[in-house]
Amino acid sequence: MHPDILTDLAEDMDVALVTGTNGKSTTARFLASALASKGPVAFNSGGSNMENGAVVALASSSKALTAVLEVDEAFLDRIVYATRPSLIVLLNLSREATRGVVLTDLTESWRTLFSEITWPCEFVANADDPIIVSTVPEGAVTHWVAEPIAWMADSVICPVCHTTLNRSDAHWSCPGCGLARPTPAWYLQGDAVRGPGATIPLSLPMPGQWPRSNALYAIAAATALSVEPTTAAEALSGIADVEGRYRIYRYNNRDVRLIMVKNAASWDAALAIASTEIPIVLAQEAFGVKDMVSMWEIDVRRLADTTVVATGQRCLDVAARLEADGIAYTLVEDPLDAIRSVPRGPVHVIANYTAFLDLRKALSAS
Amino acid sequence: MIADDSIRITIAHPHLSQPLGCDGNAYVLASRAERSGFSVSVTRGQGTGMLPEADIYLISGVPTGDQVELTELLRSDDSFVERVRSGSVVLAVNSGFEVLGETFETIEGTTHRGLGLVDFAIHRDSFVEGPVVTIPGGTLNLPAMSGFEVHSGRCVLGDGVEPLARVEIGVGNGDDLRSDGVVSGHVVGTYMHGPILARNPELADILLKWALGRSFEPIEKGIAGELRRQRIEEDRADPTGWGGREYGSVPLGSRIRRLLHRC
Repeated sequence: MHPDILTDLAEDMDVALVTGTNGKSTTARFLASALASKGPVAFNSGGSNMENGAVVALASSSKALTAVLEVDEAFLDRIVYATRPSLIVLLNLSREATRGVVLTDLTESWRTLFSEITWPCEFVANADDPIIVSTVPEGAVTHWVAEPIAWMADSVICPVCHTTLNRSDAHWSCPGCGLARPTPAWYLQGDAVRGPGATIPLSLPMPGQWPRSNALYAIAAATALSVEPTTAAEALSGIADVEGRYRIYRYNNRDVRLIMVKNAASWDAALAIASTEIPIVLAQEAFGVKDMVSMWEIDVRRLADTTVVATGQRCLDVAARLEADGIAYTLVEDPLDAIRSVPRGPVHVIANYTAFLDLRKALSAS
Repeated sequence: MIADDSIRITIAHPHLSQPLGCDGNAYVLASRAERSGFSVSVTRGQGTGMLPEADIYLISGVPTGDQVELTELLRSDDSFVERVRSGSVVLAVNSGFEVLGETFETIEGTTHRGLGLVDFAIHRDSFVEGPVVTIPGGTLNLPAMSGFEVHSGRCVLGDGVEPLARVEIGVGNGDDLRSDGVVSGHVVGTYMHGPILARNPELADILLKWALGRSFEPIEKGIAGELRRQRIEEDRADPTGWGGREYGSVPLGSRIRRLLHRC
């Protein structure tokens, strides 16, 4: 591919980029819908979040004057230089084993990248993630968003000077270099989004906390791009699923909610749904030598009172992890058999990437 | 080492660690110790201060850029160095293992002084990522072990220094012996992840025995034994570590690797 293709395609477009470890696809989908009131929007749906995906999205929407691109964290620099975005949404950064991207190196590269932006570019960024805050240049126009992070292991020490951070309620600060939580302009309050001078009711068909957080970023970003926040919020109320995530599949008298986990932070967030009422199927398929390490990074003891089924080619790894914390489980090798093994009614399936792809296909076909 | 059958485990500086699941070694040790009737405490030595005193220290791999920082944190911690010299147990993995020796070369090619707890030197060579299967035997008389490695280090053991194992599949120390890791006193170093103790409970029991200062009747291997059998069989059939998984007509491993190599 010629390196200038993306630059040429983006030249007359108002480009917004969405990146971070978790929540990219949903946030970008929300933002694309929220901006649709302004006219056609080019959007790389389907998770094609590297350069090819960006080119296809822009090339196939010739009438669009606005583009929303979900961007892989490691590809952000190339896509920023090529598209010269007017807005970048920074969700969160945390450890990820499967791709071998080193978090400290990635953070450093973002810091350098953002400091080299010479054109008008605003940020919508997570005030609760010290790594994200450390990458945003001083003086940049930034719409800070409050999204309390549950996965704390990567924000124990200051990402700039490695001093242990002080924490008090929501606030955090570094006694070494002074890096501290900026005051967020956007936050969730009950069922409403609160922004500068505005309270916007939020009604999403998608369940759980994550879509609400993703919606918060999307509404903040759409507002920065001159869409009325209420118009943005209304646009999200009709989105029922993103690429099969959050969708409930009816299978064999079970209502199956499929949840994909890719890293420690998403595992941690996924296990927050554990309850005594709804069984959890942990479906893990082979995905390279590092495929099961994230499960060893997280605390699984919250599954203690849940009915748990371990399944997939890596079910023995799941079992070993559960056994190390004394969590009771049953072992059912085949994922569809595993779903059929729990009582009729709702069931949560927590699946790694390969298991998610398999099950999305199998459940859609059933 | 200790009289009251309680074992203190400290995870050293986990905030620096690579996300490769090495905390799992602590969970496995604690689980096997408790089920064997011993009481256990696991402490995360967070932040940049001194490590809490421990009977077993677990040192994970860190990104190579943080290897010098890890070394200096451990070197400046007198209680850690003294306790290791007087018999506390250490299990160190990957770049955490590499800093225990006399010298280590960083990825930029500069050589640094290690902690000098064991006589070996680390050089850099090509990056390796794949499964490891070891040959039964060695100083600790271990069975064939299963794990995986992700590193670019090559370890030259000093005269008379014993490796942890020899490898059937994998690179390990990258020497003519086809060895992996090191055993010296109560210090075990290895390139093997997994986490290594999750698939190889015999090694966990040896570390617990050292910490207790006495033998005990080991509990069953449990699911770990089956997991290891499955992985060794799979790795012998498909040493790529992708378990023979295919994506359409293309092996998933090569498809994903093609994508990642563009990063």
